[in-house]
Amino acid sequence: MIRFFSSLGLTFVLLLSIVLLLWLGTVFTLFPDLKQGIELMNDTLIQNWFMTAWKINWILPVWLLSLCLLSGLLFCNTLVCSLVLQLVTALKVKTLRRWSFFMIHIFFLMVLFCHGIALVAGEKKTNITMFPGDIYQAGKLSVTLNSITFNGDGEFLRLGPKKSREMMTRKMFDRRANFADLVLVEDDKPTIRGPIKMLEPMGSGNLRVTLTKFILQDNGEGERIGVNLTITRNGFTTFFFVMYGFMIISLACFVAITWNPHVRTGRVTPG
Amino acid sequence: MKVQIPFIVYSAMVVFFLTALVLGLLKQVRWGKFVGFLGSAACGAGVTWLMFSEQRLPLFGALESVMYVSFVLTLLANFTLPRVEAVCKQRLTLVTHGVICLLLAVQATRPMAFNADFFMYDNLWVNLFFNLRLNAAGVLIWAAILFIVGVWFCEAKDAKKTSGRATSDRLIHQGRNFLLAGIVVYLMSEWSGSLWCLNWLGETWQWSRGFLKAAIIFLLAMIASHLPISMGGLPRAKALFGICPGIYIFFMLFQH
Repeated sequence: MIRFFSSLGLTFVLLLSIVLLLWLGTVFTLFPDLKQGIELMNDTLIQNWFMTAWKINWILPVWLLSLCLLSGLLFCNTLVCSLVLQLVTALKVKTLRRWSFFMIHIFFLMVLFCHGIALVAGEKKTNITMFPGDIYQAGKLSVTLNSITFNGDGEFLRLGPKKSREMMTRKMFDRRANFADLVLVEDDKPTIRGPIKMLEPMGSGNLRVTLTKFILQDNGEGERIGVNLTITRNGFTTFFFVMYGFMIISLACFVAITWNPHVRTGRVTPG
Repeated sequence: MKVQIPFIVYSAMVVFFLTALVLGLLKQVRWGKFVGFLGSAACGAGVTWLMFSEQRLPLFGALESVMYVSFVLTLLANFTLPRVEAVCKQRLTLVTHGVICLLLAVQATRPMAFNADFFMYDNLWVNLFFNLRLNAAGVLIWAAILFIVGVWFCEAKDAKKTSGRATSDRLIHQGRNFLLAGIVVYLMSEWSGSLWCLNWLGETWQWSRGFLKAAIIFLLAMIASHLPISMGGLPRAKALFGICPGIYIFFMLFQH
């Protein structure tokens, strides 16, 4: 069993199968209904999406389930191979090459784990539309939008996504000059207040509030500008970036060490 | 004027690289190299003009991708050539010019203008994400070229000689080196992209066509590095899987 799970043949088959499934996913995005279904996966935790999607169309849930299953198997395959083969070899041979090779796989496992955990754990609330004076309540968290500072007439906010994208140049829309003044209150934690800009979110600890876009709404009395917010809570974000960074570094080290096959790599001496 | 210059640069690239390819096929090595160098200078001029006029790095969009990737490719082909015999270097240059001509041919039907400006282009992570991806494309395509020429040497009658086989092995090993180096650059791009996604949408990644395609590139490189023992010793199998990331990213440049 261990031999099977640590085999390179299994890795090869799993990687090929995952590539085929991902490619199938790109084909799905060519169909408007399926594309919308895939995009909806971003709006909530995956288990919540799964239950709703299953009732509407079985294709995407089956695709996702297969992808998760194969990725889980790849995780097990990498874990077993790393511990049973690579670690044992690294301890025996003790070269930088062996250790960097082992570390790439460990960091890859961490990154894969973080990808998985981001799907099912934490909190995710997207497309929260707020206007000045609005208060958004979610459990113990309260978000108050005091004011919005928006320079210009917001002409491009009236246009569709493509036209709007063309008009939102650096000259037309200065993201640092356009912001919303927010107040975050969460149970016993200190109140956070400040401006929130596009690409400059605010939050504390694992909580993160991001301004995804400005919107324009006509409420009958005239047009008013509002914001679209996303609230997420994920305890693994920093860990993910650190592990991802280390994976890149370890891979770069491995490439450098093994660049010239004729040069013997330095041995790591104990102590 | 601003609209015309990219077209002039593109035309110059077509003339120089096509001539270099023809000269290479006619075995006019020195002239081929010289004209190829002029093509490289044209790419460099195009990239410099883009950075000057648009006040940003080359990011995405067919024309600027073609210019920048061609520039990276010619730099790699000139400065990172492995220590191999002259005929092998000639073939590498020939295939590189052929690939650039192919890039230019695909671009022919597309708009001859740079990517329109966007307010997010003042953000460091946005710039790194897109620009590093173009760099990775250049390195991965160069890796694919090394694999192709490596197999070409292995298959050709030169391979009967011991040096032919050794050259083929060296090229395939270099292909593997650049494949992994390309993936390092690609992952750096993805890391920056994750940070951009986090600051914009609140998450480190999102389900989208772009994400699925990006994951495929990484997995294709992983497949090439995890060939079963039965295939690992076959130069053809190594080359076949090694060129896949380069080919995939080649077409990704035109489908944003």
